[in-house]
Amino acid sequence: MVAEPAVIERPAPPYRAAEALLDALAAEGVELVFGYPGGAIMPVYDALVGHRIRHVLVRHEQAAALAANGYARRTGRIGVCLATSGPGATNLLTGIADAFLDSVPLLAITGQVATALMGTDAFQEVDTFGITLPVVKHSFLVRRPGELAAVVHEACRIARSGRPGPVLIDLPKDVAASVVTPAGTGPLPDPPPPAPDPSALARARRLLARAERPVLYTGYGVALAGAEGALRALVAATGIPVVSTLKGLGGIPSDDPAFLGMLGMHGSRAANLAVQECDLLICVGARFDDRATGRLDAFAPRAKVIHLDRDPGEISKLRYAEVALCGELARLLPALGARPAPPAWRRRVAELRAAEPQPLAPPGSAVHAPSLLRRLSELLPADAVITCDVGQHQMWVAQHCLHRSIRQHLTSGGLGTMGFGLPAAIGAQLAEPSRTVVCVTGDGSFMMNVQELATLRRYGLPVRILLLDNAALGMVRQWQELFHRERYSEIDLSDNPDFAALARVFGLWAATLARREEAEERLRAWLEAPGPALLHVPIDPRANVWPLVPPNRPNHEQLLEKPPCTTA
Amino acid sequence: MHHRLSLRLRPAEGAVLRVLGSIERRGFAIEGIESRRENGWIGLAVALSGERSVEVLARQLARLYDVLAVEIEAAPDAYTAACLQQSFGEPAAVRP
Repeated sequence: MVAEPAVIERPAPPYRAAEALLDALAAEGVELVFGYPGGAIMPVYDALVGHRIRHVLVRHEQAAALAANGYARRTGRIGVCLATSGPGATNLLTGIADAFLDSVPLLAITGQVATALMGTDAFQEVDTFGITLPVVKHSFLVRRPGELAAVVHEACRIARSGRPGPVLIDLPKDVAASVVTPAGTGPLPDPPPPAPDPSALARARRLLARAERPVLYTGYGVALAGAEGALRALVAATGIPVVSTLKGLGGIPSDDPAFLGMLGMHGSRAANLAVQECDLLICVGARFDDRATGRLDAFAPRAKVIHLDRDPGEISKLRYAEVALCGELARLLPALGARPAPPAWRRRVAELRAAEPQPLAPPGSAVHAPSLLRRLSELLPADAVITCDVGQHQMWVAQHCLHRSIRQHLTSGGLGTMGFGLPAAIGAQLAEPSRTVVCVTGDGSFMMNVQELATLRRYGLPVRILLLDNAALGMVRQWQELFHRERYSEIDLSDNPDFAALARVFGLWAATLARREEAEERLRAWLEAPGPALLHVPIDPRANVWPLVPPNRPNHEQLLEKPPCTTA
Repeated sequence: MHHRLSLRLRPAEGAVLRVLGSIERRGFAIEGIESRRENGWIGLAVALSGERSVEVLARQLARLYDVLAVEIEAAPDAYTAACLQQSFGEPAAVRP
């Protein structure tokens, strides 16, 4: 007979603020956090052991912030990243700034040196609170352990409510390690949205009733507000033509007859001409960014503006709005009472749409990126997610992939963060393990967070990476060609590593697609490969993105090809 | 153009810095500041100059979590007056 093991009574370990932090996050519905440990954040990592919140270890803190950012963009829920003080915190900064400019709900938690050491230039001490001030929606430096749980709930409320954004919690080591009483607190209610202004709505209705050439200009605010359904219903009922910002793509499906494409610097000709000709511009959750407007004083020169946004701070910031409607877009759009677009304008818009120049593959066997991306879009499941990096490939994805909903296309619009694509794909894939997630990247961007291939491998994430390799920093090269008299400066990457071999070293499936006749077979093999997979696609280094509105030019002066004389 | 803003802030670490930083980053020069701690809040008066719209600036400041109220010491346009309401704190006081 075996004796029963003696039960050793151990006192329950004390409940510390770090555990209260995790419990408060769990109460907010947070299931996973992205991070990287270090000295000052160690109490939190200690509390993570055995906690129900899952931690995803990345290989660089920037990737933790960008993965949390991608997770938040895909799901609409708060993405959480964790780093230590000093270099851990400064490495998060790019991902926080990216979330700030693109209105992404992100919670960044940074360790800080103990309060007694703060202000003494201690090891790994940096003023994280101060450094991040201009790129956060709000931030907290927690000095009282008993307040930490309440701070987490307030931080989450700020990050997700109204116009979302990043919130920082800087947490000194001694505060995190302090013994506290469990708070048992929960999420706080969001503040009520501003009520629609009846007089502004009446003025908007009058402008809409009189408009002969209305255009809807839509942005990412449509996704943030959950207003895709309301937008589609409005367009279906009225046929008002729609142009979109980069981040608003998918608000209306790309193949909808009313959709004219992206506007702005690399926008479609139809979208840009329709905006320049319109007499009423209805801006829905967009912010007149310079990449969208071109030369601002020549943007939509004949139009009055109705601006619908959640954030009053955007109204008349860059373009005067005759009517401002602040509130919930999903309620405001149906309340507009728009009538069908006049037939003559619909005919004109249909002409513009039909006349859109289509990029043709040049002769030869080199892979033509626009055609490849169009084919990829056809092969992918309708609900696949595409993340992008920044540069020429990002614009080709915007122009040539079929966008069915906004949260299927994750792209760094405001900050333009090279290195965004792979960590964002990691975040999106962890949010939805069975979804097809594709990261379209370039040879410049890919190398900025290449270390995250190890994260793909570690967690067995079946992200598909399509690497368009023009052996150059292509977008910079294009500008040097067109606007700097072909004086090429530091754009050559022709000594890139063998990307397929590199991916294999990290344990990925990898192949190269070098000739267009191999495209169908290689694309299919790559999409069906087990686990994470990379398809390396060398393309013509001279390929440019067209159309292009030259800097400081009005959007109707876009170039469709390289002009004979291109001195700026 | 010269303007004067009066703000009521939460007595939180970084509140004054956040407001002053925002004013400069949005393109205005700060010409003078007065700050005092009251019961439960910080009063901040800022004299500033700039060519951009002070109404837009006031709305950008009003959306900061630490900003409880903003006054433009000149009549703001009707739209700005209506939306200088702080979502998280008490309603903004706007001088008519």
